[in-house]
Amino acid sequence: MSRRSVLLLAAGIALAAALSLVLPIGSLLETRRADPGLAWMLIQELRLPRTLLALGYGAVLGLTGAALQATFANPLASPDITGSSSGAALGAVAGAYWLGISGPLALAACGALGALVALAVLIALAGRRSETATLLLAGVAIALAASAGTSLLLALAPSPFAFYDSFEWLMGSFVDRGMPQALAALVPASIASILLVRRAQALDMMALGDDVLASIGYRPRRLAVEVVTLSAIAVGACVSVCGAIAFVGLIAPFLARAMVRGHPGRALVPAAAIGGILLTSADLLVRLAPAGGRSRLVSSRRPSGLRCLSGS
Amino acid sequence: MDAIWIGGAGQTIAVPSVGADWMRLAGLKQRPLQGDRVSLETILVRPPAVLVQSRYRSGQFSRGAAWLSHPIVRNAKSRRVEVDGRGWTCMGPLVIPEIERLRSLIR
Repeated sequence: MSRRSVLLLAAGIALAAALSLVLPIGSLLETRRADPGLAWMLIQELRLPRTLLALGYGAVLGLTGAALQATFANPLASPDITGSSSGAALGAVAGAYWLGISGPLALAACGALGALVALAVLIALAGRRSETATLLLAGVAIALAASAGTSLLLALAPSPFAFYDSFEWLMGSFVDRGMPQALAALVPASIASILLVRRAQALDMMALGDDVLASIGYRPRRLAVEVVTLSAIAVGACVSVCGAIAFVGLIAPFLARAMVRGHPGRALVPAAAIGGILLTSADLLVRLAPAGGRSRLVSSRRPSGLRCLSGS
Repeated sequence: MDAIWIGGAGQTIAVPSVGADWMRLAGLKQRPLQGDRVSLETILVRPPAVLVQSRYRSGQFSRGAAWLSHPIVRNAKSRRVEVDGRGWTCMGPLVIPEIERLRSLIR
């Protein structure tokens, strides 16, 4: 990747983060004039967790999307199309509403477990080196089944508000997430992501085929299992806090590979950067877009996942 | 008196609406809010004089109920009045005793 691309991505991340922290600026300046301590609390308790989650979740989607595309040797593999996002949502819902798990870290673990099961079923159904159509069909089937299961669990949950939760959370949202939730999602996701990045060279070699990979000294099946497991942990932790978000995990690796001349392993880090910028930008658009001509308020509550799904 | 009615996940009452009319009878003026939802940022930066908080199904887990337990909501610089959310769901005659109770509390 060229030096210019690195600088461009770094500048993009910095700009997205800065804008996410200060916008809408009107309310921030007004608060700072009235009470500087309150303005700092606004940034620290609300905007900073939201910014970290948008950047981090976007980076996870980009990075795991690139890793899954390299593993499955298929440019259409992504956390949402392979069903791992839906599986993570199912795991988190089962844990929260039926097992009574309320701690953010424990919920993240439930999400990771759900994603892992979904990816395991995908490999069992489609195989690792399946054709595009087979992978798509299997992934869509798993995603639909997991979504149906999630809706059923929410509809049968003791609290009648559980079904309302599905609209906002399952569509993907960063609204009103606190720092404990951000840490519960991003700490395990970061650890899993770092371990994935360490396998970047092996993923580059994977493109040459399993025989070549094995001759170099890697174990193809073990590498595939590790990538799937780490992706499930990273995606599952984020989905349990912010819900399922589509599109980013598909498009970020595509753009990243253009920057690294098609090397799937080298695309991991750029895909993470692009994913973070994309998702943070989508969240910014959500916050700043007017809603039905009504007066503007402090923050918008429209789910960020809708923006990503529409590809805008 | 400026007020915001809050339920799970920051759901609030639309203005104009039957709920807002009931609150006016109790001496409270529901603040109009975008999408009939209130954010934590609004509660932190522009807290209302009175927070009318629904305790409907508060013992059962939902993300909405968890929102009501957020430190910003719990420590809001507003006078807090808890209400039984069941009457406010249908906004029918069953809410009359709640309105009378609110009037006596606000005075």
